[in-house]
Amino acid sequence: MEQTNEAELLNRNPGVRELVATLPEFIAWRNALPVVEVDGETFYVVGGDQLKDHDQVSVAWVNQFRPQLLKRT
Amino acid sequence: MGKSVSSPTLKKNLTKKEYLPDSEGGSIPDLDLYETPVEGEKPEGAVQPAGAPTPPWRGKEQPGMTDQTAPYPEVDENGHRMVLVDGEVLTVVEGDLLLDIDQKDLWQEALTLRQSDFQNRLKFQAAGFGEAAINESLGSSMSALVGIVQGGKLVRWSPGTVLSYCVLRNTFPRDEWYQEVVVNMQLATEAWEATCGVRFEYLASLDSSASVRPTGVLFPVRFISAGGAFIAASFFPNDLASRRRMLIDPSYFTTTFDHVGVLRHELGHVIGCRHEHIRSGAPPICPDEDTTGTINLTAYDPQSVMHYFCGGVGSRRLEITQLDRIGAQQLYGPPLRAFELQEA
Repeated sequence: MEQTNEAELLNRNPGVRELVATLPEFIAWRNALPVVEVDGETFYVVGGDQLKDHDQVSVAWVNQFRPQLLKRT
Repeated sequence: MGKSVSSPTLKKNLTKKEYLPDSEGGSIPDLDLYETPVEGEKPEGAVQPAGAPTPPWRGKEQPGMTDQTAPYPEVDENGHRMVLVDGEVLTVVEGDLLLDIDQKDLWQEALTLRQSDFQNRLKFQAAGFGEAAINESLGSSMSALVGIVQGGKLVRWSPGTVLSYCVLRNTFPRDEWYQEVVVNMQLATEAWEATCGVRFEYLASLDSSASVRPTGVLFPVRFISAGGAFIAASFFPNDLASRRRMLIDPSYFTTTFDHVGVLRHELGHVIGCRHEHIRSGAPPICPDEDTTGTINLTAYDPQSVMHYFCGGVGSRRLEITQLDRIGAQQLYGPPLRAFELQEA
């Protein structure tokens, strides 16, 4: 099965996906993003026209606001 | 193409690690000239943590100086470590350089210049999408666009790839909307084909396909009611194959942005361009994005086709500028038609 680069990155960093999902700052940021469903998949609209799944928005948020969480990879 | 504009201050930083080619990518001349620190990496130099004794190379502590200062963050907005030295908060760059705020600004400017030089030397191979050499005859100061880097390689389509598409007629609730998108896609693809060495192909025979993922085309263009979450949306070359599609929201047909321009913008993503307004130099009000895996191509172009209409810059026409042309040709070379004319 195809995996996004972001999913592979989170798989290489056990616990980060789960940690980020519980952070109130991330939840607030993600909840402010428009949500669309395409072909049964849920996407968040980032930057106006980029559709990202949950792993992708998680990594985007980490890169922007908590880069140290993924700095070892 | 998005709709709204609101954002905190944008910042970006690129490191050598982010755009170095893999070892098999060949040699890069003068590589050491472009070495910059990796974000968040602990420097190997004798950097003192906050409150530590004054490092010997900075001389003796001067009378009246103390280490008392206001609280400060451990890292700056670009991920550089910050340390307290002689009561002054300094930023650590390049492993062992301690810069005050003014020095850091100068260093950042110099870094930007070095990156532009690096661009003109870099020979790269896209991550599974082909390889390209940067035309060294192009002036770096005239470069534009923001590229995508993955695994140290600049992402683009392989040379010779035909970017085929269809427009799924059955997804459009109105036939005139379908007809408009067909015409506008032809105009927008022609604009990119006249800009750089990419080739699109419209396969109208697949427009009536019942599947939203028709085989035989690289990507379909289709209508979707996204509730105005976007005007149109597309994909990047390194996105999953199953997510290669251009989506058109009903707001596309009423937007005051040039309708062909919106598709030019989306096709810019398709060939590997990120938003221009995520770059340093763009108005802070412009939407902020994660810039990891992007590469700055020096000069900021506020009129770029990839720039949103924000902060008093950008254009609703979304035309491909001369700077866009130069940047796109660094990825794909000159328009293929130029070669055809020479052969004739």
